[in-house]
Amino acid sequence: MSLVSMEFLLFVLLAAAGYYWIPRKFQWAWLLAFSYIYYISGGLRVTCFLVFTTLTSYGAGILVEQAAGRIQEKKKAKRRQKQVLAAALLLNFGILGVLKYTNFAIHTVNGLFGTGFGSIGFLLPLGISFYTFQSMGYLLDVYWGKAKAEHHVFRFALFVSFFPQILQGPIGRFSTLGEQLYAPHPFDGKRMERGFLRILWGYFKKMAIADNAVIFVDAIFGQPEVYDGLGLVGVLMYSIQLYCDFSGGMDVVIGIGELFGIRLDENFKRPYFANSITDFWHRWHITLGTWMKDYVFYPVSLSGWMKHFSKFAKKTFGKQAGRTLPICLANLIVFFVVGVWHGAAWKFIVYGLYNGLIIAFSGLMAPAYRDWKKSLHISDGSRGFHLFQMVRTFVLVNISWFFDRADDVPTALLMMKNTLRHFNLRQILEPGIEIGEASGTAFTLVALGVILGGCLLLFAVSVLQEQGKDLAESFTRQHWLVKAAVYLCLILAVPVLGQPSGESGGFIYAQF
Amino acid sequence: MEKLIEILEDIQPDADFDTCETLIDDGILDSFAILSIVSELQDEFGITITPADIIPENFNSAKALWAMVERLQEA
Amino acid sequence: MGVFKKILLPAVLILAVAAVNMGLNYALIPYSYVRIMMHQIETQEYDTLFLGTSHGLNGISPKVIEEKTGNSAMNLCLGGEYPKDAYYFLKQACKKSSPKTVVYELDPGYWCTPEGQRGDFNRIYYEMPWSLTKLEYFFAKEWKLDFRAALFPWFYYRSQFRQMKEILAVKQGQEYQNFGAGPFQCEGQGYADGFMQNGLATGPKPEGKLELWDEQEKNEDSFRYFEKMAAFCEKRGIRLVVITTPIPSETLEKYAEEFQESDRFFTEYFRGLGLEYWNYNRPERKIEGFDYSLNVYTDYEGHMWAGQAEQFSGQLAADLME
Repeated sequence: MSLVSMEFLLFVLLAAAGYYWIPRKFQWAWLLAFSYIYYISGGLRVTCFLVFTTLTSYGAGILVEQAAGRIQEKKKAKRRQKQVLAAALLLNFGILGVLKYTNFAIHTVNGLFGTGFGSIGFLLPLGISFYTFQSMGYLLDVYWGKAKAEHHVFRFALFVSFFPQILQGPIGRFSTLGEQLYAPHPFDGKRMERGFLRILWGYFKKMAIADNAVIFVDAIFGQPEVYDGLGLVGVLMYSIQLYCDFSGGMDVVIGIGELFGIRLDENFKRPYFANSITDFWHRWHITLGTWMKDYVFYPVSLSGWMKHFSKFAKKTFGKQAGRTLPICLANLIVFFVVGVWHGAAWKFIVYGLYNGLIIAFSGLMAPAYRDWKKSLHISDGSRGFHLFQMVRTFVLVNISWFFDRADDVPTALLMMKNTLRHFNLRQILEPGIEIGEASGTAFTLVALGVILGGCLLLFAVSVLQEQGKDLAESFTRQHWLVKAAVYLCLILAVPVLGQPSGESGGFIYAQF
Repeated sequence: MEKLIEILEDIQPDADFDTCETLIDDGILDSFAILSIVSELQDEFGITITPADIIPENFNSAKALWAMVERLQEA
Repeated sequence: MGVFKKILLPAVLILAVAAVNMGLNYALIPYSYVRIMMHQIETQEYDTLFLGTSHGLNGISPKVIEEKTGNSAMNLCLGGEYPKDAYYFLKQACKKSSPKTVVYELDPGYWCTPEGQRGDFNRIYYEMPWSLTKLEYFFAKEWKLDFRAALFPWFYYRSQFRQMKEILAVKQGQEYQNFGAGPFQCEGQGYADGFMQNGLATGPKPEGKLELWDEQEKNEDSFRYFEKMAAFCEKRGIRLVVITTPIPSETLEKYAEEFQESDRFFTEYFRGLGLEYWNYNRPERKIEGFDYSLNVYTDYEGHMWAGQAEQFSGQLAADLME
């Protein structure tokens, strides 16, 4: 069920209306029922995968907990826990890996050895990487004693399948999400209003901004040799599209959570205001970043072999570098995984490693930077320096988008080269860029104007949010006529300014 | 405890470790700094820190860090 | 205050959106002959109904059929009418009429492409008056679509804002009020005698991209709804005939393989359903004295000009009477 479809709108309406009508102690069960209806509507067969992951992580959680209580000898208990954990991780990540990467592996083998193995048409369960990450995170939390195992299988099933977030995240944590899902929620008009506003804002970002930008992105990245003067425009449009598509989708999802009185984790905090790539990953797809940090970065860094490497590095490179090098290595591993997660293709690996290398490099250089800044009398607080950092980060991020969006690595490199070599803005008015049902210069200008206006509004809102203002809160306090006017504008902007969201109404991140 | 403060100041010279109680919550220590601290603590005090120990409560202040070190030394 | 004030905002908002919607629907969605068709099937009874695509709209003259068979006939073919739309159009028509014969005009392209979201794709739904049939149609068609299709029908016409003045002028005119076809008369084309009449075009003909039959790309919905239509007809004792209108010999030669494959596939398919399939491009169905050359067609795809359409309709009427 696409987030922009009629059925989804009515589905949410029905779910929310019934939620406050039935007795509160059944609310969680109501959500579970709707979550499964939602999932099954995407295909009965793929639901088996969801059930499998639910049952294995549920069972493993309990086994891990019991091992600690029942087995007297501590070492033995730990070993047993480890076995259960390893089995569950292997099974679930195994499924994810096989379904997502077999064809990539076949393709790579064919390329390397000239073999001709055919691709396999797997069914890819909806949101498989999101729910797998979420439930494996839970299991690791139980293993580390950070969370208690859930003993109620249906409640646990709700945690894994909660419908607003299953398609594109945010990846929830059991410690914060679990309790909220099971707690009774009385009707809260103000919260509903906040939710509604958030949903509208999300649709606005997706349909009015992202869906206009995608026209240019598809044209320019689709024919980089034709639009060779527009590489810069293409990548800027892509950064607009990606942000508005993904964060707009998140706004809708989080807004729906609010309708049920459930606060989902934020996934974006104005990422293009980041002052470093590290900071960017603290603001972009936050729940994936923290998941990677907690469940990949720390465990890898603290693993036994990393300790050995650390000792070796300290002996060889001295204390400072020896301390940082293993961390950099772990970081590269994380970003390799992030890259692979984005898709089974070399360009995504390059995209991931590019990010990892920049972060590792700045980690290694951190002491040097501190000295430079001191000798140049630059203070971190100065506005000019902050602006410089933001622009630098934005440029670095846009370089990574070339890899993310271009068909392959050579195309990405070629487009970057063209961007530096020639710049020809006039190409944008050439016929061939199709705007919705009509193509032509006039419509190109309209679409550009909508994107520009939308981005200005988004920028203004972001600046206020960056200053810590709760805009939704001040909005709910306005006179009802003001509110009605704002709502009306937002509602109408979606069809007036928006473009059709493709034949499938797709969001970029709904395919992971 | 003095040794600990020394390590911390070596890794992150611009933070106030004596009084600050929100090193994690306010983002003063990032994950690189946390792991650098962990690495030094393991070497200095001969303890083993696991992913389970990496929670904000253990890293928010020098005091909390020291409590963790003492706890792990006993174990 | 309490309840009243709480409902005030949503109520005002819904009313405001509805008002704006009505205004924009009126100002942006141009008058269409679908409105005439809808009016006709609501007010008159027909013995023979034609459903299908633009080929049928351009190629079947209900007037000729009426004259030859003596039965009243109505052409409900439309460009962009998928079997799904045809099924609900038929259901709507059968509220008033009890047809003896339904002719479905088949363009294989509609059975192997997804329903697009362009132009008039939503028009039959939009013009259909509120009823249970429309509700059913809503679930069949709008349910999975972008919510703007059903909530803001003018969405797909917003680029018409430049023509707003003309659209409004037409809608305020006598013709619109009386379901007249006057506004559709333009050079080379006009809606008259119940079908779209193309003038005889000279000069080179546009080729465009032809949607040829491709079994790999089957649109399951098209098959499903056609079968519903067949079941509907069977239940009511309506004779259902499937036809394919003649296309230019140039096109037929160029894509011989695809057209033969399509003929083979659909002949078999319709035989399985116990239905007759008259493909007027088969050698044995060729119409005597009919000009198959591209000269008399408007394009490669095979939209006929009115004179040809009348000739073809004569043959079709004769075949229907057999």
